[in-house]
Amino acid sequence: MSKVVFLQTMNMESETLETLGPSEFSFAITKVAVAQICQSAGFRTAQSSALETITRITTLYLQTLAKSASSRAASSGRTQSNIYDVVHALEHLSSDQGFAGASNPNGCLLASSPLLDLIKFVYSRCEIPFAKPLPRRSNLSQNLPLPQNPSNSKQSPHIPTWLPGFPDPSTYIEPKTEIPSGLNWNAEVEERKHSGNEKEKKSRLGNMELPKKRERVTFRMGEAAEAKGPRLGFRVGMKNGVCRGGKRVSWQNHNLQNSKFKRPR
Amino acid sequence: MNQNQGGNDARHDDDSALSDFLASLMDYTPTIPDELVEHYLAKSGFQCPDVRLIRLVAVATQKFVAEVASDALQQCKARQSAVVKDKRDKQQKDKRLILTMEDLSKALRECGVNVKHQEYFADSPSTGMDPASRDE
Repeated sequence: MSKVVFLQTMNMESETLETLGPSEFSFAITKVAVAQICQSAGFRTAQSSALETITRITTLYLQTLAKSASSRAASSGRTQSNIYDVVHALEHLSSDQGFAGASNPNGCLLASSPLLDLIKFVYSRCEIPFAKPLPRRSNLSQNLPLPQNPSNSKQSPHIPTWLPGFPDPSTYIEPKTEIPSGLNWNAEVEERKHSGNEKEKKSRLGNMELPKKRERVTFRMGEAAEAKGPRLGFRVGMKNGVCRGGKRVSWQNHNLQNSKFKRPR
Repeated sequence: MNQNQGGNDARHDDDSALSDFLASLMDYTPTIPDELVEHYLAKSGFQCPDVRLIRLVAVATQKFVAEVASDALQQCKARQSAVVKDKRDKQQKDKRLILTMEDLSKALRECGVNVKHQEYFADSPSTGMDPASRDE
């Protein structure tokens, strides 16, 4: 396991920072900050696996604090968190180890002991500013204006205007030449016959229309089918699939009446 | 009535102490930079226009990491004091305080985080095994 000197971490990371992706970038910066904190605690070097572990734990702690505070705010009907949410989140995360006053639910939040410990920590420590200056991304701090869609208000007054508009209608409205499915097949076939478009009928014959007179197709179990004239036979093997073990399945009522239809696959 | 007034005074004291603290936070620069904290907060859905709260979260995280690091340091020193016999070795080892996975896992266990790491990587299942050693 390689040992990484803290100063080396800070110098190395700054060179390779530009080539990293966004999540790795934030992880690398966190690693530098955590290395600084460990150095101030008294460590000189660290195993790289240990440093990565503690960095990962730091990011998880940050995210857990934030999630806890934001869910607290959301359950109170607010979108923005305030200090009470943050203090609650702090208490929630300190409840593992316990803190003074944890058993008192009516205590004032602003006097809770995790917060007071934090205040003492800040007053007692000298500040350790971050090692390298970070490029400030001003794009992220701007609030993007919500795209207003005027067409929504005219055609669909029940839809609020601040929602994004509908996509191009051709992407979600199906053209009426689609293959119909299921139950009303015969009814739709009749409709199209009455509509009188010969070309359409012919083009769709191969797809979905079944000619009315079809040959009988028989299935025989377990033996080679004998093709007799217009009849077609299909052999159903006994050793596999449905017929495994030699049980009989009755197909007498299920003769398909078409020998020529092709199912689109 | 007196009790209520006393309670109100205490609350005002808390409020004023807290507002002083938040004002002092703006002078104090946490080790974790604000942009990084904002990134993680935005990732988790935390919205707040107040910069002081962001500093508060950053400082809380810094305190957590500092506590874990100091616990690990104590573990490291405790192990060194148990092993050391010669004075010469002690002087050498004082300079080499290394953050190891063992110390870190012991320190994190107190915070409720279970970290297990591989002690070694072996080529085959029977590497290093003898009847006296237990299976890992």
